[in-house]
Amino acid sequence: MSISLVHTADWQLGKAFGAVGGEAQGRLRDARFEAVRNVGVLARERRADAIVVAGDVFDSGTAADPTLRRALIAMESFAGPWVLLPGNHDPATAEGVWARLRRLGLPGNVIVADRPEPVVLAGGRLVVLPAPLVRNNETDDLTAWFDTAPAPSGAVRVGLAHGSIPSRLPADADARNPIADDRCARAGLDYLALGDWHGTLRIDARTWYAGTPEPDRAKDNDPGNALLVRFDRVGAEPVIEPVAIGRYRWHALRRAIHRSADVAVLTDDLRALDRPLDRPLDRHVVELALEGTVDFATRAALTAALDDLAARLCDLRVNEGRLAVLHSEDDLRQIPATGFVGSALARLREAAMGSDAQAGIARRALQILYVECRQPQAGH
Amino acid sequence: MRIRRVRIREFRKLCGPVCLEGFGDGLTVIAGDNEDGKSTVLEAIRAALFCRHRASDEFVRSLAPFGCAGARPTVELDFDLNGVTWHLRKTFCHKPHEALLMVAGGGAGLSFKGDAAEEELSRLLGLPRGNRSVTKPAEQGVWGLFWVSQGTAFEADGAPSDGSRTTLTGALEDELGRVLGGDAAPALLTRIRQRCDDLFSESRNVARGQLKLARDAKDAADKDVARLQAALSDYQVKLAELQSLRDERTRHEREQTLTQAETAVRAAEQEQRRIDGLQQREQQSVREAELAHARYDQARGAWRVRHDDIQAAKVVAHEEAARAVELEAARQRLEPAKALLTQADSDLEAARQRQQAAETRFADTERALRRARLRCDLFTDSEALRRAEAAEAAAAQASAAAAAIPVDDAAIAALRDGVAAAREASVRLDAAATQVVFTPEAGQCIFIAGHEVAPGQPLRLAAETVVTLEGFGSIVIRPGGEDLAERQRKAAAAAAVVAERIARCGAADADAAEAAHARRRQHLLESDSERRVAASVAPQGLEALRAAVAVKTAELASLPAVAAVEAEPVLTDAAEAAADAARAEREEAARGRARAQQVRDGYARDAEQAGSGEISARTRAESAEARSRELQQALADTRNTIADQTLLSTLDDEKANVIAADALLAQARDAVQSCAPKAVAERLDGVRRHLAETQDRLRRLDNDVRDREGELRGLGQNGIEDELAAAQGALQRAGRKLAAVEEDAAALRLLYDTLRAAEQDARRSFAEPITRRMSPYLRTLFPGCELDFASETLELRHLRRAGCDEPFSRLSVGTREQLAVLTRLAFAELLSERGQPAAVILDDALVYSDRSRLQRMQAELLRAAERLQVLVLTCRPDDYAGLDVPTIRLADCFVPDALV
Repeated sequence: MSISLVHTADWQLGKAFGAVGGEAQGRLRDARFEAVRNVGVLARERRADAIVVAGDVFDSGTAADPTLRRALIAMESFAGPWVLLPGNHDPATAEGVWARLRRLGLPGNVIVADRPEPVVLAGGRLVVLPAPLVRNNETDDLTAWFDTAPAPSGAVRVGLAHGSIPSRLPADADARNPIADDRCARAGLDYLALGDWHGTLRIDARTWYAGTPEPDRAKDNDPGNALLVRFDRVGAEPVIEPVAIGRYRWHALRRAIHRSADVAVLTDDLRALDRPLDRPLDRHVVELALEGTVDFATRAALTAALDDLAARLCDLRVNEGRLAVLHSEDDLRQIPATGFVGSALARLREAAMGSDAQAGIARRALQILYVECRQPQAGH
Repeated sequence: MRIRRVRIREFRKLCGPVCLEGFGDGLTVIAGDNEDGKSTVLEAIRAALFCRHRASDEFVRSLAPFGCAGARPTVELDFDLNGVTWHLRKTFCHKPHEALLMVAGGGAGLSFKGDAAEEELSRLLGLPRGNRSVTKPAEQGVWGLFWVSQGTAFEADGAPSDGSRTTLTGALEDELGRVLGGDAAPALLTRIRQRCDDLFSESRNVARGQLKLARDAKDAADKDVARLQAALSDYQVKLAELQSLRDERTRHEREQTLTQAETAVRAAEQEQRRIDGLQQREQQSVREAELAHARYDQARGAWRVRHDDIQAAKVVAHEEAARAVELEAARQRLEPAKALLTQADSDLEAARQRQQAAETRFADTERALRRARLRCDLFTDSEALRRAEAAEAAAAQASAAAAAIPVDDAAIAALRDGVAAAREASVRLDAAATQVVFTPEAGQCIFIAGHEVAPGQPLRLAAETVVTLEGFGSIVIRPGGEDLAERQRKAAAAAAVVAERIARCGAADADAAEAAHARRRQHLLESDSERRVAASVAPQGLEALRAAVAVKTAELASLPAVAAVEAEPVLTDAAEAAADAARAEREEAARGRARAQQVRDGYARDAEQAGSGEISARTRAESAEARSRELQQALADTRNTIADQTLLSTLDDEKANVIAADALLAQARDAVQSCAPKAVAERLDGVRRHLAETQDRLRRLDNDVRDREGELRGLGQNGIEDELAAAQGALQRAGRKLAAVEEDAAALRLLYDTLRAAEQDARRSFAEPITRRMSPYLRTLFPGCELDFASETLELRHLRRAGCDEPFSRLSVGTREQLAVLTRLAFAELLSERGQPAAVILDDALVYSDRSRLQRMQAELLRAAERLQVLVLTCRPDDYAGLDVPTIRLADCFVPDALV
């Protein structure tokens, strides 16, 4: 008789998305609760025996009560057990989010695994061994107790932990809350459900990171999934099926703009984001870094194009730190340089040579002059 | 630049070819009726110079004539520029567009076609290069604006006329502005200014609008982030504190600290109790030892007292004996002293008596001396008195005698005066009198009034005198003159006076009076001298002398004579000698007494001393004896009560007791010490304290944990971290936005400053010379007025007409026209001086000017035309008829057929 569970992690409910402005903030926050609900729906539809959440359920220990309530409401989508593990964002501190959650009243199927003690589910056929964090950073391997945990026969043993496997993660992962890379074997676990890495990542046949069900950053490490884990029998290698849950896709792009043609190319690229997965543009979050040197005309075209794209996408954040605007001769010819305007223009051109801040201001002044002269009646 | 020939074809309303030639070097009039196409000619020239032949914009398209589809507007222009004559031809609108520029007369090297021709033309004209047609006058720069079209002066190219036009300066500036930058430039400046004002205040200190909003937003975001960070760290600190408190509580439970403390306390208490027992016993021993010591001390004390008493009695007995010896010695000294004293007393008495006798004798001799002196004085004084009195009497007598004589000094003086006066009067009379000298011849006699007159003597006759001459008869002599009578009268008067005075003196005559006076004086002198004598004898006066005499007499009477024992010396010398002797004796006696006194005093002291010594010795002896008796008695009494021996034995017993008690005490002490009581007590204190502290700590821990939990419960649900993340995001956005706005603000500032500076430079460069150049023209426009320009700002300050200051009201249209023309003329002149000649074309530009103004303007045009080409397009050639200038009639310029 098989046992299956849904492995998910890193919900980080209540995350503020401060860097994203405007309405997109609200949409992204809502999406996270929606993802939780959908995980529940997945479990219900696939008749899973439990859902294990490997840490960082909440974005912080000070998540507001409404966030807690919404979490509980989202979890109503699955009547089976939800095992919630405290992670480094929501450690089981003395007076933290878990205490408050309990005070709000946990439904019977929501289990907070805040002590290193086995949680027995599915009538004894599934045992979850949690390694909860009580601090933001642990230097010890909290999964060590798995090795000596009792091992009732006939039960699938699943470890639930939150941290990093120093030797296995890509180089840019941080190495707090270490977990031994052979914990599964040493403790004789059937599966080790990990959280903290936000992408879906296979460590080995029995050790996976589920990743966050709703992406929250523009890192391309395959986020936005939950894992369906099936054990056909005790001791069998689990069958893992990643299921896409996330509503939004995040992209980090870098482009160089030098001519107007480049603007068109950029526009086309971004407009084409909806094609893979056939997801409309307003379900994409884009972080765009621009570099290059453009003249006024191109700059104007770029601004127009970006404004249009920003309206189409869920959120478009543009970093133009490395994009320089430099007037061309054509640009200056557009400025009717009669009388003193001409001599002013010449002076500004003179001042705009050079690379110090003052020259930058002069270039901007030229740009303003350019724009003003093209639309004299539009004014300000 | 001078235009020489223009040929136009299929250009707007000029369908057929038109050729204008015969342009002069200076003023040329081009006459044509309305609707003939004068303005079109101007447009054609403009198009040839400024429009790109290949341009297809609306303006160029408008060049094509109506109703001639496919027509190709063509313009040919011959012009001189910088000494070279150029030929230009352009064809617009439809292909093939043509442009040809070449030097007239050939020269293959200087021929340009197509775009090259446009380039070269731009270069020649100094136009901005580029592909665009420069159709707007504003863009044609300096060139375009010398061409003043009909009504352009007050047409604003879209800008509304505003208050600035009402002042001359405003009007000038407007015109200059057009010249300098076209209409767009000031508007541009204004717009930029407006944008600056939207962002910051005049002084650039106060942010406004978007800038202020951006700054405020960033500040608010900063504050929010700071606030939330503080709140978050506070929360985290509290959380950490709670954790550590809980940990400590657990530790206490684990280590059972409370129980252990309690056990320790119980053990220490037990130990303490044991020691307490030992200490009690020790206390007991102490008390007993003390008691033994007390009794021993008592016994010792009693024996000591006895011993002291015995010693004291002995001492006092010794003293009694000594005192008795002393007394005897004192007595033995007393007797002889007394005897000596008695003797000395009697000696003293004898000396005193001797002295007394000497004193008496001395007093007597003194008295005798005094009496002798008195007698002497009295005698002297009496004599003096007598003499003085005699002198006084004599003086009185003399005075009386003098008084008897009435002839005092005054009287004699008066008499003398009178006599003198009479004499003088007589002399005068004589002087005036007739002097007659009789000299009888033969001794005849002369008689006057019966008196014979001696002959030969002059006679003075003052009055009528009858002189009888013997033998003759009589002569009556009447001395003449009133004067004489007067003198005679005077002499008579004087003589009378004299007589009177003599009578007063009581004398017979003057001499008698004199003698009486002399006698009187003599008496007076005598009286004086007697008085002096009296005064010398009695200087104090007679009365004083009499008094002194009386006093001395009385005194003498009061001093009794000396006793009959010795004869009283009458003489002073003898008296003095006696007195001296007596004095000497007296002194001797006094000395003798003094000596005797001294001796006696000395013996008296000795006797006294001896006496008092005896008394005190007696007293001491008596008291010593009394004390001795007393003490003996007391000693005997106490011995009766307790014998000496008894005391001594009691003393020994007590001593033995003391030793025993001390030994017991030492034992008890050792017992206690060996248990280290202090250490035990300290330990007990220590463990008790520790217990209390532990209890206290546990209590506080529990309280603190409760408190913290309560606090955190309240804080924890605020979602601080999420809010902080949101606030940080907002801060970043606000920061970026602020940077952008500030960059814009800085750029706007720079742009505005640069434009303004450029405008002012241009103005300075052109405005002042232009205004200078124009002021004569303006004076022409406003004759009889004083115009006052400020040098810096070109502000026209006053227009003074007929002595009154006039404000500049709205200028008339005609005036505006003229201003436009004059500005351009002045400008063109200026530029031509700078080597940039341009042509001025006026297209019906003075239509609103009255005749007189027109004439004046024409004069200006002529003047300007001396240096420039000025083309006047007009529909009223008659206005210019009087000027001797070439006139081209447009109607005559229509060439029937093809161009050359």
